[in-house]
Amino acid sequence: MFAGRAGRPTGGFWAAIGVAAALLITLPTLRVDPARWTLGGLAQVFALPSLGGMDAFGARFLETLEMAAAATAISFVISLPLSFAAAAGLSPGWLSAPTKLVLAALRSIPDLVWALILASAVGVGQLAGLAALVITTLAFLAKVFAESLETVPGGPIEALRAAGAGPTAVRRVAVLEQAKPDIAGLTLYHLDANIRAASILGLVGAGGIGFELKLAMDHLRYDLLGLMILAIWLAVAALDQVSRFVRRRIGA
Amino acid sequence: MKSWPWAALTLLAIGAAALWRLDISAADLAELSGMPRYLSRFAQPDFRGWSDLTRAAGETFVMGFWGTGLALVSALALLLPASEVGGAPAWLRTALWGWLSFVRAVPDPIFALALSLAFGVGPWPGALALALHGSGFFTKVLAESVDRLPLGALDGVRSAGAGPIGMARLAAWPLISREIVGYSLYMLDRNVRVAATLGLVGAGGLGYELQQSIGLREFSRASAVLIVIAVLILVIDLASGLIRRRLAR
Repeated sequence: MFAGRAGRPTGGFWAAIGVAAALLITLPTLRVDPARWTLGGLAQVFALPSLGGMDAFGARFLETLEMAAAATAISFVISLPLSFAAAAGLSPGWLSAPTKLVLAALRSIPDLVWALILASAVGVGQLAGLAALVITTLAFLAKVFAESLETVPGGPIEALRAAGAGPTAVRRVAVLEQAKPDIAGLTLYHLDANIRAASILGLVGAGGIGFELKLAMDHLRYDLLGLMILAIWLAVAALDQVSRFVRRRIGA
Repeated sequence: MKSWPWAALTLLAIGAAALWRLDISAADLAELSGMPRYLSRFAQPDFRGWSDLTRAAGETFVMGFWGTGLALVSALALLLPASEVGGAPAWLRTALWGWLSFVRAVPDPIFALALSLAFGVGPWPGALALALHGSGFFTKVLAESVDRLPLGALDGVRSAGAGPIGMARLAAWPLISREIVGYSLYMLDRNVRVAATLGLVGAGGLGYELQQSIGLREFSRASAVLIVIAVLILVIDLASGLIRRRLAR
């Protein structure tokens, strides 16, 4: 890619040069200013947390996990029928094309932005966070479920049709049955993503541990930041083990 | 395969239990019915102050771009120690993989907050946070594809008299360069999305504009910012799709 057969630079070489030049040209936008650096500030994050103000921490952490689990389950239930509506070949074009468009529009707004808007609409709290997670998760799951439904091998579908099965039976048996491992894997993957997302939604007032983090930052309690990083890491690592186990059982 | 319905039921049961435990009342849910009226305030986007919007969009894009570039550079540096073929000592690999899983697990805005304590508030700690998270992802996927390289190709180049650099250039590079481009495009797409939200925690760019306008309840302004965010994300999505298709040919 970098050198052609005669040792002449190829397209890849020039592309790399172009990217490097673009990085240099755009550097001033980042306003890198070593005069403002106080690298010692980072040490506060890893100081041992003092126990004051910790009582709310555990409850908020549990709340975060609950928001992620509830949002994943709700989105799963909504996105399964939605994915059949969005899948080309399983539903008519007048239905699948607009459904895909709406899902793409929902996905183009990040979850933290949804949370900010919803918190401003329905008030600060868990509902705003839950709704933000549900919107982004269902828009993502319905899209990837639809893609996996579209790409299942056609053989079994044809066989069922030839044997006289109606459209419902075809959907249930041939398509859903084959796409199952994909669907399970994607849902588990998104449960993990939702735990991480739920842990920061509170920064814009949408419930969960992020809210505690915002309070801590406002009160210059940077030690809680380190504790929180640790808690999120452990939760995600634990879930990773669980989902590896479940995926093996399901065969995904 | 038989455990499929049980897995789905377990998910639903846990979800239902979690929902029941959450502090959400019927009155809260009734609030959601006011959403259409609330969203109607976003109906007339106000694009005045266009230069502020383009400057913010540029800041968001550059945050994502630099985050991706730095992530790629760090991944290329960590690639060999992280892969099996690199021959690094086991304790080093274990420590490195632990670190990589750590930076992947922690959400970017939290890194951005921590790094802003050291580097001051602004887009620079935002770009560094994206790079930290991205380095975890990049190094993992690239080290895995290095370990998937067919050993035959490496041996063939070696027996023709190539040293380590020649092996990397002639046998490994042609095979993984395509993956590097693919993952870089994916990372750029993802990082610009995240960069748009990092402003909400003080890293500048479109997220900052959005937070200001919603905080001041200037919904027409907020609507304009949202449109710019969506267009920026859409353009990068289309551009990376285009590049990917050209490379696939």
